[in-house]
Order: sequence, then C-alpha cells, then structure tokens
Amino acid sequence: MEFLICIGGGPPAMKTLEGGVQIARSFGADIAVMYVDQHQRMAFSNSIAFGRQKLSEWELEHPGVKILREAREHLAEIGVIRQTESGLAERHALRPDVEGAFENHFYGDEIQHIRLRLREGRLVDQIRKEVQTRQYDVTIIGGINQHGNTRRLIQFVDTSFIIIDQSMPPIYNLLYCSDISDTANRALMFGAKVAKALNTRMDILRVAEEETPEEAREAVRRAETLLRRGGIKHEVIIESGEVVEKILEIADEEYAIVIGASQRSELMKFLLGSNPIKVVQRAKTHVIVVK
Amino acid sequence: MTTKILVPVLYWIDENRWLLIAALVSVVLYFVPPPPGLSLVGWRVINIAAAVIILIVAEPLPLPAIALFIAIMQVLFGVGTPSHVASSFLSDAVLFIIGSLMLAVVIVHQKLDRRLAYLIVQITGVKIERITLGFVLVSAIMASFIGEHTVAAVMLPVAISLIRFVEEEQGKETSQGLAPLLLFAIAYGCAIGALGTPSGGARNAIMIDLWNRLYNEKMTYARWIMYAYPLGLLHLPFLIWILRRTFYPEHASLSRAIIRLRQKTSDQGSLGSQEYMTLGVFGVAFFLWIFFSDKIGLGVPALIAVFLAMALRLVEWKHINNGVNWGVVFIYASTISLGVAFNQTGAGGWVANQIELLFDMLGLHYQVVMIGVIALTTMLFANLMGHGPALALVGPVAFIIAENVGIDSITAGFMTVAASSYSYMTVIGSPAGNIVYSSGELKTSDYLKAGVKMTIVSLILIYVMRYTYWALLN
Repeated sequence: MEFLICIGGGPPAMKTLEGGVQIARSFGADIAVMYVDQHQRMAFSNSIAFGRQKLSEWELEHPGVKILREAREHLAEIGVIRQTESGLAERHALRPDVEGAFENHFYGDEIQHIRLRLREGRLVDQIRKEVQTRQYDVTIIGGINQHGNTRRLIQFVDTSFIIIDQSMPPIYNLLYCSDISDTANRALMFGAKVAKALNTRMDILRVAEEETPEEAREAVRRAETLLRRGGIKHEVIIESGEVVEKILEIADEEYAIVIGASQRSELMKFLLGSNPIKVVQRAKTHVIVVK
Repeated sequence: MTTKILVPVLYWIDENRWLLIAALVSVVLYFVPPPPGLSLVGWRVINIAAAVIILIVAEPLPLPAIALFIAIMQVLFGVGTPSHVASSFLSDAVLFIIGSLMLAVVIVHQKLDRRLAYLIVQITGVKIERITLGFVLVSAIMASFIGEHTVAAVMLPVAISLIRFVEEEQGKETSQGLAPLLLFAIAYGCAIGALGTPSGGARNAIMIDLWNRLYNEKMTYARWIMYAYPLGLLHLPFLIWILRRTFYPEHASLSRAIIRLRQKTSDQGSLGSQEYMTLGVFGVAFFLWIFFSDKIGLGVPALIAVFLAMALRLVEWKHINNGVNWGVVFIYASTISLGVAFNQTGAGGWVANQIELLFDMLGLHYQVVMIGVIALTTMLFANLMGHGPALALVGPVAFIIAENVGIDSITAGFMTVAASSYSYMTVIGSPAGNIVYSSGELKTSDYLKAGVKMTIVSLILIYVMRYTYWALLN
C-alpha cells in the first residue's frame, strides 16, 4: 500500500504529516509526501523562472524544496526516516522528472519507502495527476479552506481521503456513520482497521430518517458483530433527523468521522454535491472518506 | 454514460468552467441586438472584450490562446479584414515590449545582483527602516528604466538571503514580519518606480501608442520623465511609512545578517568586460530613448540594444528564446489591437457614454468624481488582469470620459497609466508582485493588508498631481 500525504507550508503542514504518518504506520503502508507549488501564473512564468534562477545562483532553495526539507527533517526527528552512520538512509537525492515530479527518496523501518515529491501547478490538477500516475490507496490532506477544492478532490481524485483537521489532536475516537452511503461497508472495514491499529474505540452512528429505531438497530448489527469480533470497543448511537446535521452534531470535536463516499451518480454529485462532501466541508474534526 | 467516461468529462467541465462561461457570454451577446447608439460591429467588439476579460482573469487557457482568440474573433465578427487585424497587432509599443523582454534576459544573464546587494548593504546600514528604504529606492530607480520583472528577479535573492540569515540567527518566527516588509519593498518599489520613464514598463509604451493613435500626440522620453517621475518620488515616504506600519519585524536591527550578506557579496572584484559591455549596451538604448524616441520610437532603441548584445556575444539566441515569454508579447499585442478596435468601432465611446449617463443620473457627473472613477476602475482592472492588458482596454474609454469633463489628453493619459501601475492588491496584478509571491514567503492576504492603504495613497496623489503639478505643466 502507498499513501499520499499532501502538505502546504508551515507548522500546520507538520500536523498533517504527523497525522498521515500515524495512519500509514498502522497500515504498514509506504508514504509519498507531496507539496504542490501553486505560486505560478502563466502570464509571469518566465519572470518567475528568472527569480528562481537567481535564487539558485545564490544557493537559496526553491520554496517548495524548502518545505520538503522541513518535512524531511521532521520525519527524521520522529524516527520515520532511518538514520545510518553516514546520515539519513537516502535512496536518491532530489531529482527532477521522477514520474512528473521532483523526488527525493528515503528508506525507513516501519514505513519502508518515503518519497518527498514536489509538483508545480494547480492543486487539484496536480493531486489528480499524482494519484493517476502512482495509484495511491489513500490521500491524506490538511483541512482545505477552499470548499471548491475539497469538493473537486473528493469527486475527481480516485482514492479514499483522510482530511486532517490541523487544529485537532491526532486521530482519537472514531465515529462510523453507517447510513451515509452504499460504500459504508468499505468505510466500516477501513475504520475498523484504523481503530484496531491505533487502539481507539469506534462508535457506530445510524441516523434514522425513515426507519424505526428497531430497524435502525437491526441495520447496524453486522457492523457491531464485526467490531466485537475484532475486539474494538464500540457503542451504537441511533438518532433521527437530518443526516449531515446529526453527524456533525454527534461528532463535534469528540470523534474523527468515518464515512463512505457517496454512490450518487457522478452528474448528481457534480451538480448538487453529496452528503460526505457536506460533512467534510463543515466538520470541525478529522474526516475519513472511504471510496 | 459510464463513470469512466463521465468523470473525465465532468472534470474537464469543472476545470474549464471559466472557458465555458466566457463562451456562453459570447454566444448570448451574439444573439442580443446592439443597444441604441452602438453599431453592430462595435457591439461585436464589446462581445469579444467581455470574453477576453473573463479569460485573462481566470486563465483557463494559455495566454497565447487568448491572443489567438482575439485575432480570430475580430476577423470572424467582421471587426476588420485579416490584413487590418494583423497590422493592428504590431506597433511601436509591441516592438518595445519584445525589446525590453529580451533586454531583461541580457541583464539577468549577468551577475549584477550581487553587486546590487553589496551596494544596498554598503549604503543602508543595519537599521530596518534604512534597509527598507534601500530596497524601495534601488527597486524604484531600477524599475523606472528597465522592466520591473527584471528588477524583481534580481532583487529577490538579496531579500531572501537576508531573511534566511535572520532565520538562522534568530529563529523562523522573526522572519514573519521581515519577509513581507522586504518583499513588498521590492514589489511596491517597482510599482511606483515603473512609471518614471517610458522604458519602465510595457504599459508606458502602450500609453504613448494610444496618444499617438488617438490624438496624434508625440510624447518624448524627457517630457514623460518631467510629468511622471515626481509622482513616484511623492510615493516614497508614504510607501516606507505604510510598510513599517503594516508589517512588524521582531528585531529592528539586522546587524549580524547584514554582516553575513556583506561577506557573501564582497568578493566581486571590479567590473568585468562582459558587465561593462552590458552597461554600454543598455547605455546605448538609454541614449537613443532620451534623444531620439520622438523620431524612432521606444521599440527600436530596445531592439538595437538587443542586437548589439547578441553581436557582442553577451547573450545567445537560445537564452533569449527561452527567457522571453512569447505569450506575454502575444497577449499585449492582441489587447492593444482590441483597444484600437474599441476606439475605431465606437465601442469605447458607447461604454464611456453609459458610465457618464449613470453618473449623470446620480447627479455626480463632475470632474472630481470622474477622476476617481477612471483611476479606481483602471486599478480594479489592473489588479485582475495585469496592468498592460488593463490599460489597453480601459485606456480608450478613460480618454473619452476625461475629455467630456474637461481634462486634456496628456493629463488623462498620465492619470490612467499611473492608476494601471498601482495594482497593489493582488498577486496577479503585476509581474513584480507575482515574482515576490513565488518565493513562498507571502500570503495573499498580505497583498490586501498593505495594498488597500497604498491604493488610497496613490489615489490621493493622483488627485494632487492633477490639480497642482500637471495643471501647472499644462
């Protein structure tokens, strides 16, 4: 497995990185840490190239390289990148055009391959190209302020997503939303794996819109059984009301939310959005969207 | 339709939504009859302009594609014959833009930046106010003679070096106020300086071209400096004050960082033959601009300098070819062409009349109000489109509005070109603003923080110049 962790700059990026590493470790997955340099406007691309040329003549780093260096230092500090007698265990130094990106590749122990990647261009476009090129299983991103980008990523990038709320502590109790979509089963399996690896509880939320409480209880029986067999602490919460509102109300800042991606038609999602996207856009906590 | 096909299609629609919106606007306007008082061909020009504004602001297409769109639509809509449209693409302003972009490659190719850094640290000392003043002065003076993108590119490593030294000495937090202070000193220094001489930027050449085409008015290099340089100088104290009041570096003295920068830049030796020749080549252009621009224009001196640079092997063609953004040349040429069509078809006059009617209805059709309207509208377009295309499109309309409230063409031109220079509020308003942003040290909100204050100051100074200095010169 390989997880893509997308970071911006500054201290929040390190929170995203730590959250991503925590989850990747629990899955034994490799990671690619990617920064997308969005600073370019086509009209000024040559002028910016002049500026970058001058920076390199002065031996000053490209701003994206600076962010990757900070990520590398942080990963070494928290023991993800292996230390050897001669320094960090590096497979290759930063080099251009490795599957469409600048790449610096390291070895680790729990996480075996750590790639630091730099792309230039529009955020959604570059993440989409990266996922198409390297076929990641999960994409981990920090909370994105621009709601349009969140919607585009979830609809057009073909991986599951973990959206890290950088103001919150690392993943804690999970809230599995059983009735948000038809992909709920995959979300259940994924959430259970995370809960097991991180030794956290995962409560099951069923929002009954048209069901009786008894029917709702029956609908989550399979999920209960799976968690019980897996030794994962859990409770069942049955609520009635509007699905998105209830999920947000129950989760608040107490849970990280686990939901399946919407199975609505692509056209309907494009025109009207979907419940998972609304949850991601409004949640004050981490959200895992499983496809 | 299966998901495999539908998702890429929807993604294309999503990515190109502004292209589709531009197309939709164009189609709708095509079927709407022209309003009273405007010819069909004038209406078609407004149709093209509306689409082009959307395309330049949102950039769903590469710039050269937008330029091609302007040429194609002018011919298809019957705005002009193919030959007429083609000839409207080339003017002295476009030759100047080509020449100045090429000269920028020649200058960036030399290692003048380290000398400049040395000069700054020698003359400014270690106090933050004096260093800011040094950055503003050097950027403004240089930008008044050569393109601001060259100046910003050359000054960028000097600022970033200082920021890194301070970070290394005192921790990252200390650079939080310092980075915007120094980088905006460069970007805004360029903005206020670039108006100083005709060779300071493409917009200046566009304005000279507009005067020539619309009023048969020749503007010499020296006369331009007389009108424009004082406006830049007036801005200086306000710029320093605003930057210092907006961004607060933690340490007021950068003594250790300055010592390190001095060490890094002190071993330059004397000027080499290449550098002398580069200065000489630029001197030739400058000489020709000052003494012969009324006869040979602004473009040819720049091209002579580039020719000499290539003849003297100061730069190779491949470097020029790679270094010049031909898309920028195309977009300037095409927006100038559209500006000409705006004027010739009566579209500009119609837009001006609509604006005047609106202010008439509000009882605000006075000179003092319309100056503000012209300046703020130009600033708005420049912030969204970049100053050259904004001036090419807004300029012809601004002239008519100004003329109708009793402002002469020279003053109206300087007001408009000055306003187009002062695109402080967005990253995309100017090349210098974009270059300093590309360092990764600034947030887009920083542009608003300082930019709003600078916009107010610039607006007031345009009024001051209009009613004092420019009135006296006329």
